[in-house]
This record gives sequence, C-alpha cells and structure tokens, in this order.
Amino acid sequence: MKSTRIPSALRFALCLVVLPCPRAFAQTEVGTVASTVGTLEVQRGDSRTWQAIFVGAPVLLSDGVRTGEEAGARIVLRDDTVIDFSSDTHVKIERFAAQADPQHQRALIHLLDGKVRILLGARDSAARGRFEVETSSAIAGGRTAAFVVRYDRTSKSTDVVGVEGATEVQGTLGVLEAAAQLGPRQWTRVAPSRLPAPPENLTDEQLSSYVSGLDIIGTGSRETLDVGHPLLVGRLLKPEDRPGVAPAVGAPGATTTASYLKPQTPGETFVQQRSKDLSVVTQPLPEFRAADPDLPPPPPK
Amino acid sequence: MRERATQLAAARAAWTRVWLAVAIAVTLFPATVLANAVSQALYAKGLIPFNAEHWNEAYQLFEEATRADAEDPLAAYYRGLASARLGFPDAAREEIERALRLWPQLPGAPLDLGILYFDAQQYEKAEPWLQQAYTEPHDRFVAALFLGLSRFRQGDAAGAHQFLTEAAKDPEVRSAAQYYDGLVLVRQRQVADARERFAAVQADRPDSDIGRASAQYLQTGEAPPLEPSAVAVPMKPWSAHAAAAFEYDSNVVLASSEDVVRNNRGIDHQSDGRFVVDAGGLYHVFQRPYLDAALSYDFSQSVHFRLTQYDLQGHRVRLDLAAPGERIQYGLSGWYDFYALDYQTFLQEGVGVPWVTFFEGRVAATQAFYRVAGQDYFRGPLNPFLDGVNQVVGLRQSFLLGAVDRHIDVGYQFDSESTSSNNGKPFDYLGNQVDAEFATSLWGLADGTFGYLFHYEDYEHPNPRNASGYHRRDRISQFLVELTRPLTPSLTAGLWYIGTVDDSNTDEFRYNRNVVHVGVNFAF
Repeated sequence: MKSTRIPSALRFALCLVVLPCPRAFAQTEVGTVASTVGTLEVQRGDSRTWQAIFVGAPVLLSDGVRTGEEAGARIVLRDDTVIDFSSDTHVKIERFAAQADPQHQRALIHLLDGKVRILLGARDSAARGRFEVETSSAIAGGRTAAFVVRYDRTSKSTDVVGVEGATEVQGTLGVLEAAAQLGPRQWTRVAPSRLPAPPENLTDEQLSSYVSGLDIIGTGSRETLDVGHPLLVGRLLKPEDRPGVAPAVGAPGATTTASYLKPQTPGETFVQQRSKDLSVVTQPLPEFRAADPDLPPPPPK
Repeated sequence: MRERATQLAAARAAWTRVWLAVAIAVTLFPATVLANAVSQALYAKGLIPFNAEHWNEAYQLFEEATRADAEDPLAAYYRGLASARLGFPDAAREEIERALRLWPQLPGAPLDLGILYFDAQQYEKAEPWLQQAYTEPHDRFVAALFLGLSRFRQGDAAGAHQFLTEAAKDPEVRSAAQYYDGLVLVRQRQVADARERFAAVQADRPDSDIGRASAQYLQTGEAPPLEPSAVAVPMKPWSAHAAAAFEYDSNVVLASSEDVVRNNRGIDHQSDGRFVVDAGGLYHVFQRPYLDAALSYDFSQSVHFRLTQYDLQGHRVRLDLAAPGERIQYGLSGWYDFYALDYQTFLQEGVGVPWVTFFEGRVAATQAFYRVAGQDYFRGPLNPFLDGVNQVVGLRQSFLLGAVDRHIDVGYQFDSESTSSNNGKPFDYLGNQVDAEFATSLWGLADGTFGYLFHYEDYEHPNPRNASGYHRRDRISQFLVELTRPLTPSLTAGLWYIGTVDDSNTDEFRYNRNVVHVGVNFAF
C-alpha cells in the first residue's frame, strides 16, 4: 500500500498558518541544565518516556524533570532563575514569563514530589516577572526571594522555607485569601485543603535539614585542574622526560637557572668522607708505643 | 582544540563516578559558607559556559558572583578555576587560596593549588597542598602522581618511586605513573624494572607521547645519565641511613715500609680484614628558602678479625647551617667527634667550617672555606704529643664536563698543625694539599669516582727519630677508585679502593697502605 505523506516543509507551513500549534509553543527552550549528580531525566511535552539529560542540555516548556535516588540537579532558566533539585524530585515546567512586559507575567513550575530551592536573585526585580512553585496543596512565590519548597506526595502537605527576601505562600484552596509572608529563616506548612500555618522561625539545624541535598559543587563532574592536564593525558611535560635522552645542559627544556652541580660542604678529603679507620689513626702507633716520640728511636735489635 | 575537548570530555566522564560521591558528600554546606542568592544564581549561571569551556564568559559570571558576595567560596573557587583555564595561574592561585580561607574544607581546592604550584615548578610550595589532597580519598591517587613527579624533579628517587607506585594503583592515572616511575628506575640503573613499566605504558597508551617514548626506549634500550637536581634542600625533613661493609686493609698498624723498622718493632701482622657498620640520621630543624638548619648524628664501628686493638668506634654530632641560593650559597658546619679505639676512649675532636660557594652559570662552582679542628687525645701513646689545633684555608673548583653526571673537582688547601706539646713540638707542620676528583656514569652500569690527593707536610722542628737530624717531610699520595650502583631506589652497593703512599723522609713514618671496601648502603 502506498502511503501518502505530507512533506515536512508543508507541515511546518500549515502549522504556522492554519493549525493550532501546541507543540511549537511547548518546545520553547526555557532553561539549561547547569549541574547534575546521579540520575536526571526529562519527559518532553506529551511523551510518556523519560530520557536522561546531562549538563548543558536544554529544558523546554512543558517538560517534566525528575531526579533519582541520591541525585541532585540544578537548572538555570532563561530569566536567571535557578532551580535546585533534591533527590527523588519531580517537577513540570508549566509556564514561563516571556521577555516582553515581564512585570505582568508569571512563571510557574509544578512540584509533583520532592524538594526544590528557588533562587530569584540574579536579575533585578524590575526585569523579571513573578515566579511561583505550585503543589497540590500550596503556591509559593515571589520576585526577589530565595526559598525552599518540599512536597510530600503521600500526605500532600507542603513545607515552604524562606531563605532570603520575602516569600508569599498560599493554599491552593484559598487563593483569594491574603498570602502568608515568609521572611528569611521562617517556614510554614500547608496541609491539603488548608490555609498556610502561621510562619515560624527556624533553628540552624532545621534550616540545614531543609537545604540538605540541594547544593552541588560545580557541575557535578570533576573539574579540578588535573582534568585535561598534560600529565594525565599522556603528554611529556619536558623534552628530557624521555628514557634514553639526557637533559642537555642549558637546553630549552631546562626550566631552572640553578646549577647542575651540588658541591658538598667542604672540609673533608675523599678519604675522610669514606673511612674513619683511614682518617682517625694517621700515625704508626707501634712507633709511639715503643718510645716517647720526643726521644730518639730505640736502636735496632 | 577538538582533541583537547575530547580529552577533557573523556576525563570528565571517567571521573564522574568518583566525583559523584564527593558532590553528594558535601551537600551539607556549613551555614557559614552559604552565599547570598544573587551570588549563587550568578555562579550557577556561570557553570553553563564553564562546562562548555567558554572560559571567558564563565569568568565574567563568576566575577559578578564574587562582586555580589565577596564571601562566596564557590564563586571565588570557580573564578580561580576559570582563571587557570584562561592561562592566568597567578590569579588562579590567589582566588583558590581565598576560597580555601572562606571554606577550609572546600573539596578539590588543595589539589588545584598543588597542581598550580607544580606547574610553576615551585615544588616546595606544591608539596603541602598535594600532601593535603593526598589525604582525601577522591584525590589521593592524582595527588600521589603529582607528588611523585615533584619528588622526581627534585632528585628524590626514593620518594618519587613511592608515590608513583601508589598512584599506579588507580587505572585512571596508571599509565602516567608507570611512565615516570620507569624514568626513575632507568636513572637508578634498574633497567629490568624500568622496561616492565615502559612495556605496560606502551600497551595501555600506544598513541600517546608516553606510549611512543616507551616504545622507543624498549627498542633502543639506552639508559640516560642521571637527572640534574637544582634543589639543594631536600623536601623530606629527615633522612636516615645504615651501611655495612667488609674491608681488607693491607696495613692496619701503619707499619713502616722499611724492613729494618718493622723488624725492630717486632711487627709480624700488619694486614687484616674488618667489618664496618655505619648508621645515622639527619633532621632539618629549620627549613626555609633563606636558611636550612640540619642536625645529624652518625655512628660507626669497625671490628677487625685479628688486630682487634684497632677496632674503632665513632660518634659524630653535626650541625649544618646553609643559606641556599642559585648564584651563591654560604653556610657554617660544625661537628663534634668522639672515638674509642679498642673500646677505650681515644680521641675527641671539634671542627668548625665556614664556607661559601659561588656558582658560575649552571656548569661550574667555586668554593672557599676555612676549617679549624681541635684535637684532644684521651690517652697514650699519642697523648699529649698530637693534641693541638689544625687550621685549613682552601679553595675548590668544580666543573661539569659536558653532561650532568660527569664532573671534576679540583682543590688546593694550606694547613697548619700546631700541637700543644711543650717538649719540642716535633709534630707541628705546615702543609700544602692538592687533590682532584672525577665522577662519571660508566655506560649506565655504575657510577664511578676517581680521585688523587697529594699532601705535603713540612714539619717545622727536627724530629729526634730522624738520625740525620733532618726535618721530617712527608709526601703523602692517596688514590681513590670507587664504583657505586643502586640496587633499588633505597639500596646502593659500593666498591672502593684507597691506596696511600706516605713517602716520608723518616723511615719510621714511611708506609704504604691499600684498602678495599665492599658494602651496601640503605638510605631512606
């Protein structure tokens, strides 16, 4: 059977002019993976499959992103928002503020499980829209804040911790109610179908517990200066680093101006250096024993 | 560029598993190192170009991050890493050291500083950072590799071999470690072991520089001369040695070569064999670029087969002060010797030697020194006739002879022996001495040293033993032939011959002596 196929160029043109194009919108790149430790997977748009992604990979609008056990990740969005993922965390990028008129737009990620930290500080508040994290029980957000959201899929309760700036928290049920305001080192819990509990201050230990698992050094790969070092990639560091090649005096490979000579501390002859028996007793003892050396020798027998 | 990118990518992939444990382990930041959100966000943004090796862009973002929070250790650290990748090692060291001040447990930073100092050939500064990295499980083997190479550069073959052997346990750095360990071994004349290392490198990395160099060596089999070492001060603050030897001595008693004198003294045994042991240690009590102070102790004992009355035991305590330098070095050495002969007190001696060395380029050196020694014999028959003071002024000149392992030293010294005896002072003399030593590698099989010394002693007062009433004049010639060969990086075998001909104008003091020494020395 002969199949009828629409040329891809035509499909693209139709998509632009006639057809509703949800995928074209959905494939907008909204961020980049900056760090990963362990498993990080993405579910593109409507796809049901998860695929591993790595540092430098793009994150698209409508993507689902999840981390595995003992894993972590960091994604930097185009508006400079940073999302730090803890292990076993699952989010979906729902909305993203466009460049135009950002003050009146709202970015939103849906936290389905786990814990994230949001850093909103890299861009002036006038140049960004509002950023929100939504769970089934709460919405947390702000414009210049840094905050942590932890969602327990079993109990469906949400903890929100203010790290820096002002964080606003609402229950998904009472979005018309005034938001709870969290300052730095304050937290609240939002139970399902409830309003946020009154904010409470956190101790150092409690704060450490909330930010635990969110920090990754660098991209998560080894980045110390041994990586790519000539020594480790099998290069010769100096011309004379070859067996059978003597370092030539004054050769370009010679890297120090110090002398090749290492004279010993003077004061002893080569005999004194090598043997005490040859250098301590230097007079014929039988002669001295035979007679006082200040006297003439005894006559021959 | 593409090759380098591939190498970087491969290296990163290989290390990811190792680093994963580190990254997770350090997720609990101490609260004191939490940076502000702006700095953290800029730093995170900088990681993307950093990962893509867009070093300039990454550097700019890390710099913005450090401006946002000067106390952010990670922003400072990655700014340092970007500086290093951009080719600004001085700035990199400054930034990474600052990061470590902000977060002393910052993973990886000690290794980076060690590598930066290593690359700058500042091995003394690299060492403490590399040692610190060596204690971290995730950096241990890489640090061992750089420590080994650092020791190799400084001429510490034993230290180099130890660290490179450790590094070779890690498959990621094994080839480099084995290659440089091979270089250490081949310069230690351990050709068989060296060939084994090079064969492994050739098999594992045939397309790399070290693989090709290994293959070339395995085909030609040539061994190079010893590697020069420009660093006078050893890195390790202590050292120790132990030696054991057998010696044959043709004239232990210094019997006259004149039959009539020997017969007159009834000397029927003058030759003997002996065992000699020697052990000691040295510790650098103060080690700075401008001054090195080393304290040492040495013990020796000889045990004769028959002439046991000549068994000699020695103890030496010594202090060496030296100001290292590339053009001029100077110092003061002093030691106290105590000797027991036949297990009875025999002689104590104190010696002081101020000295200065001038280096003419890299291939010649001139030394000037003064030596004063006070000798005190405890008992007869030399006490009190030889008690006194010996003073020496001397000059020495060393030349390299076209290769780093071939040099000649020549010296002249004038000495004056002034005894404290009040009975004619027959042993006071003025002396002139010339000597020469030539050292060279012998076809890669051993190191050879050949020396000649002539000492002319002109005794100032008539000696009553000289029947003709002449002043005693001794013309002493000494000859040295020495061969040494390292058996392992720590163990060296030695064979030497020293001949002495004292052509005195006085029969009683005219003698010949030949000594052959075979022994081993263990240094660690």
